[in-house]
Amino acid sequence: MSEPLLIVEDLSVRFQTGERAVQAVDGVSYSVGAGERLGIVGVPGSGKSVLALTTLGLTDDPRVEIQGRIMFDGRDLIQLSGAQLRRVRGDEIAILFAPPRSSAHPSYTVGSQLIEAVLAHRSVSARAARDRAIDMLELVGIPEPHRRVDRYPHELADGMLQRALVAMALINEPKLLLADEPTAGLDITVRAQIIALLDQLQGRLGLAMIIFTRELGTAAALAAELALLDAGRIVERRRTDKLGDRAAPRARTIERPSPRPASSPPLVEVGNLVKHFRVARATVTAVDDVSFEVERGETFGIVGERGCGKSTVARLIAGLLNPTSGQVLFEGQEISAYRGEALKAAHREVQIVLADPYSSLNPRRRVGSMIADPFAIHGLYPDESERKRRVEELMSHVGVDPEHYDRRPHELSGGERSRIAVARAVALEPKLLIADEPASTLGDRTRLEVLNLLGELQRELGLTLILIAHDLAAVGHMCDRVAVMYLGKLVELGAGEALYDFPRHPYTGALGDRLLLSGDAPSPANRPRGCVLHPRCPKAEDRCSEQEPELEDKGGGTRAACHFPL
Amino acid sequence: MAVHVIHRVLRAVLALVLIGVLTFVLFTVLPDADPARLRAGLGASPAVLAHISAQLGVHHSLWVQFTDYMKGIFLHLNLGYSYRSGRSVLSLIVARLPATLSLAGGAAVLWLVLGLPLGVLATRRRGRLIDRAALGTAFALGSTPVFWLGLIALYLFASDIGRFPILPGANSYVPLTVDPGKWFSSLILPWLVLASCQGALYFRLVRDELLGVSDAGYIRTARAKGLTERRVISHYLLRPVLARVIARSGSLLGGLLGAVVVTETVFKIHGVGLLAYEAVRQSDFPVVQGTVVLAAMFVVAVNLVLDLAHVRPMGDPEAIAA
Repeated sequence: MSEPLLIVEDLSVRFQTGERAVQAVDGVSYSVGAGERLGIVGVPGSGKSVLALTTLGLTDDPRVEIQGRIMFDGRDLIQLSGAQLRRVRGDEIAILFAPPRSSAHPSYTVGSQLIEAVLAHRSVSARAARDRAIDMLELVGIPEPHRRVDRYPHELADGMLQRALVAMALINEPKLLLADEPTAGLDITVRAQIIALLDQLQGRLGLAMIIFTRELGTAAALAAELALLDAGRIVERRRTDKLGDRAAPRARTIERPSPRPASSPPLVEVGNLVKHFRVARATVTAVDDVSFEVERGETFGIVGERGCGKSTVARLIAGLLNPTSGQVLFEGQEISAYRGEALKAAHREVQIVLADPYSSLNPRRRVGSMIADPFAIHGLYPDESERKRRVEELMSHVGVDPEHYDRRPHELSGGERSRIAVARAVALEPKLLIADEPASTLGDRTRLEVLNLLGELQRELGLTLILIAHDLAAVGHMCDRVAVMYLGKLVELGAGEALYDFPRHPYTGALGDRLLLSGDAPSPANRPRGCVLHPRCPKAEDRCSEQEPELEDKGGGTRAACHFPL
Repeated sequence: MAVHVIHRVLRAVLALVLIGVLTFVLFTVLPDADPARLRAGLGASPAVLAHISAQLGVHHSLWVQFTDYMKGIFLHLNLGYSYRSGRSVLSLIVARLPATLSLAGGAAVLWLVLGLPLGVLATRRRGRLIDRAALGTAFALGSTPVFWLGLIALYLFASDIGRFPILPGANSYVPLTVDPGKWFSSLILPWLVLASCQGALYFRLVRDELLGVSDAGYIRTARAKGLTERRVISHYLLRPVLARVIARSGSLLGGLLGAVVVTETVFKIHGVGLLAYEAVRQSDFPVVQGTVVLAAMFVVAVNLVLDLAHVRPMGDPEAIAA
């Protein structure tokens, strides 16, 4: 067997920050042969990004200590001078970052950023470099590359821009591509396209590829060999085929509460809900004629990508926004009609947990007092020691050490912060809990733990849970029913498992990784006529662009809005 | 785009009107003293006083005086006449302008040449000795009162009273047209004083802005492409940062004007600042008012130009999708 292309031996990276030293990478060894693929998977902070950046000397911190060897093509990259390393970067080894929005310079055209990459390593004419750039844009599947080459990054949609960044990384035909979270920040249907593109290009160009990611699904989709990184060490190596399938990890199936009496009225009834926003003198339809009911004790999922209107629906149900038309009934009462004390009382029954535990907790306040806020607002537990005891009870209930009562959010981990946000939301024992992408900004494992916590709380407190998510695979199995939304439309509604295993609407199929849509979702300000999905749908025919499909029964308790269901 | 421009222009006009109201209240409504007496001096006869009162229009209602005042400033650039010399305020200011421009212009060259590269260097060596030393110095200089710095400079280096008498000190200013050599040497100390306090601000501004973008993803992408460090700095870091520094420098302009007044006073440079200072001491309200109005108009105009130059006809796709 020939010598591997890249051999990393006992690599350690340590950052000196003030008095503290952070050991980001701790004795990591691995190798990749020419044309091979490796996935390096770890939670945020496990050191995978540092590992990727160190390979090319891109750790932009003067107080970094690097030990070990990174052998590439007979040279130790660590020993190379700045100028020597520069010649390796983007030529022999390329690196792909995401999200595309922040990885491309906003004030230069896509073409000039590609051309510059060529000219940094090749002495060719500007004209030849431009031709090369256009060829590369074509290779990565960007339509009309002649026009797109002169566009600025903000003129391309996310998926298109990420394709351009792939082109930029591969433009000098590197032998090795380091993909550092290559799909971070991308919508699921776009992520699937980028993964497919990398998969296809790797084979076609014969390059070696290392995927650094926190998403096991992404790594497994791209590499057979996986190394799991934890706290800077490789803790496990495995082959993907032993993992079973490529799906993202699933939440534990929740034991359902005892069957509900069929006669009891639904807790929430959403009827013909429409919400328009005025954005810069244009009207954006965020929610368009959405109707569904949520039964008592049910776990109801609302799933879709960015801009589909799912969070707007959540806020409308919570009474935080008023509908443009249509209605939201909570226990038979219209929620937007409540005022004053009645609204306050209603908020006691409906609570919401927001996505990002970093931005949704006030960094200056102590967590105990934040959990106690609802008590103060509603005048419960006026006795201070009793209130504190109740808060500590809640904290241990959600799995946070009550010792943390006087801590501030930054002293806690992301998972603990999410749990604090959950504790605050369930403090009043609401009837309805709306969780908007709980912990979606955290790693897979933490998110799963928070989802499982919500499931447990739901069972114990008899809550009705509305779970907002972008990832059908992750939540489909814990929901009794799921509503799938796209561009403000409810496109499919059915039992959670059925939607994942037997989707009827092509969009649901794309969320479940069963088919590939083309392109990016258009802006909600510019929705297609007819079926909103038709420009991206592989099954679309003429009828789809003319006639909007109605949401109708497609058998098996599933309703879908599609002329040509799967 | 057009809406944006109109919006900015309207805001500038509003600012000018407010400046008019404010200066009118400050220098016409509030002062107790009889303007005619200020103009005529102590021993004036009642007849002269009455004549001057009529000339100044003090018998009119405040509203009429105000509209006359606003029309005077904005339609005819008539800033009134000095109580002391009787000359038009505008001509007094114009006569003093070259000295002020010499001081501010030379200092600006100096602080840009020192402040900007130091900002880049400090960012490159973030957290190292040179960064901390530069930051500490900038902090000290930025918080030192200009008059104190000026006095210390005179005490140390002025050729008449200094401990190390190497440079011409106060009251040595010579116009450029008279003797360029003396003009230059007389301004060295004032330039250094003004540049060190302003340069400290610009250094920190550049450093802040650079730190803000140096962690940006696109900088990493640029390095990953294998661009030379020089190109990364000039193309990816400095260009956007300079645009922002220029945009933000508008807000530092007011401070600069204050510092110019103090520097001119300390070094006895006969510029607009010293004119204003002397007018304040002599209760020569029209001159004070005129310099304040002109300075304010200058600040508003510069900020308007900077705002308009900074306009980016870019929609934010994220904001629309959200």
